[in-house]
Amino acid sequence: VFDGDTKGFLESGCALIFGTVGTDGEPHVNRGWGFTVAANNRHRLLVAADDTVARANLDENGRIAITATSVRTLHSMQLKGRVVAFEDATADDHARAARYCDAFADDIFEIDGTPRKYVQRVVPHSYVALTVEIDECFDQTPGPKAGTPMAVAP
Amino acid sequence: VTEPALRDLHLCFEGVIPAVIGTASAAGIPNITYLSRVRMVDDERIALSNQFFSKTARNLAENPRANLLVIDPTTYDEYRLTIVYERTERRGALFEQLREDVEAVAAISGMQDVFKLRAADIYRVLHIDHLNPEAAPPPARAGSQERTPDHLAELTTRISRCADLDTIVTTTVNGLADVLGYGHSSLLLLDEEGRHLYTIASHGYDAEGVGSEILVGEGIIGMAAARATPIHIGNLRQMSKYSRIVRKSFEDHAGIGPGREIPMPDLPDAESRIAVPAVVLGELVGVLMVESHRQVAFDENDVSVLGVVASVVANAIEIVKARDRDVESSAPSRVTSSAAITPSTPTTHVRFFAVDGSTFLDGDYLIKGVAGRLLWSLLGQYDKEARVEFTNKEVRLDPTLELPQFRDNLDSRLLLLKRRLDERAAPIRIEKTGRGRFRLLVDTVLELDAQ
Repeated sequence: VFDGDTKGFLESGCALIFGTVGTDGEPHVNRGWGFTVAANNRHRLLVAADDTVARANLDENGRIAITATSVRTLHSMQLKGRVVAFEDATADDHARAARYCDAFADDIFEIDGTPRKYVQRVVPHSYVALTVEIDECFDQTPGPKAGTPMAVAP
Repeated sequence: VTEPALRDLHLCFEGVIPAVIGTASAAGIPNITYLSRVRMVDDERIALSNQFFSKTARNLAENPRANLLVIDPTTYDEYRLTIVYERTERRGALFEQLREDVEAVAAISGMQDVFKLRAADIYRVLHIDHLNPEAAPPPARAGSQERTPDHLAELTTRISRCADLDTIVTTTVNGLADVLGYGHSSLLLLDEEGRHLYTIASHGYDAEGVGSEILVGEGIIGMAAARATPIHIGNLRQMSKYSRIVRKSFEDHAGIGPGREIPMPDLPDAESRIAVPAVVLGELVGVLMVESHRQVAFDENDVSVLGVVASVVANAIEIVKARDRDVESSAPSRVTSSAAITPSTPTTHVRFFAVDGSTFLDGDYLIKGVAGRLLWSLLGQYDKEARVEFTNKEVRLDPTLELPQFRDNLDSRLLLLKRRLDERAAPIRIEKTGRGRFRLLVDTVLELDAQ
């Protein structure tokens, strides 16, 4: 179970990137649009609904890696596990994604003054919600310690 | 829809928004890593810096396929590159280019000794997906000023017409602003020992900063001097943040204590900076630096333009120095004229520390080193003999200045002292009276105090 600080970090406006792999071994990366921690290790990640490659990969093997990186500090962690379910985003999911986008854009504006309109250009129109079970967790903060397993892994 | 060409993505590789690489192990486990630098190799290949990402390297050994996510920082157009690992280079031109990129990051926080490029990994780009082509067009941003060959010719002509060092350095920084639109610039010269650079002129700052020093090899300016190559950064704040967190990681991880952090030069929150070496006959004369608040404010064209300006400035400086020495050799070594002094201003207390030439006026730091010793010598002669007229030739022979036999830089130090006194509005001034001659203007009663 993630501790309070880690939960707060993962649910903040940190940059979310997820990776999947096809059966042919082809990796595929894209952005996540909100992560919600669950006490039963069935966490929720919102991703773009039109990413058909990611969906096909997850249908085939469910393998996923997710990095969460603070826009402000570059503190970063990588979670690895499996997607056990996905469904169309609910109204709550869309509200969650909107809150995430606000926090993400606020952080970017604060660090380099990029107006929200620019960040809005990469935001998808619709989402699917992935249910993710995490097996491993790594410190991904840039530097020689990147890749070190973290004790907060469930 | 036409697939974007790799060259269309060049702004994505400035490092303003960190690129992300996704790889997968043979067992099909994905892995994601942020990259510090990406460089275009040719129209089909990119090079990625490899410092730390050992898991990525292990994955690539098993499965050469990878995915790269990049964003153009000026539009927020996002692209996914399907790439395949080809080879690793640990020497050669491409490795050196990437190493310079990485060392520029390291230089920001004094980590050149520990934050080093291990390898340049070369990938072939198979496919480029534009991920948000349907997004509303980006709002217009302020564009860069166009800098044409005509502009460059105008500035270099102005510099070439300058007849003395003072005019050369002033014309350079003013012309960079007026003619080429570089609003914030500094010109630094190399000191006698080749260990420090000192600011001789600047433009666009609250304080001109004349006399401020940077160690050769430290920071972006020091790196440009040490390597005698231009350093160009378009995302200083992001790189500073990256550099600081890597440094912290080193300190936590292995107890290594990289050198002290170099304070950011004068423009608060500068985002873009170019430092270009000024070289003559293969020898470094100084460094020309411009900076901006805007991200990715400069490109390779600016590096070229500033390279030309720096070269012209360096040549002009060396020609003026050589000419003035020729004049000195045929001039009398000593001009005897005395001051008719009726100082109207209050007493000025001048404190001099012989150990390093540090000089203070009424308790305020003025200058140190050769320029400090020079002022002390001039004021001593003024105090004892009421002398105000001097020649460079006699000053050059003054043993108390400890000038090196080779490349004494007296002219530059004299100008540095003059500009520093002017900047401080001191009651002591230096006025050039002809080639190889100058006058000391003292409008105060001196109290000299050597420590």
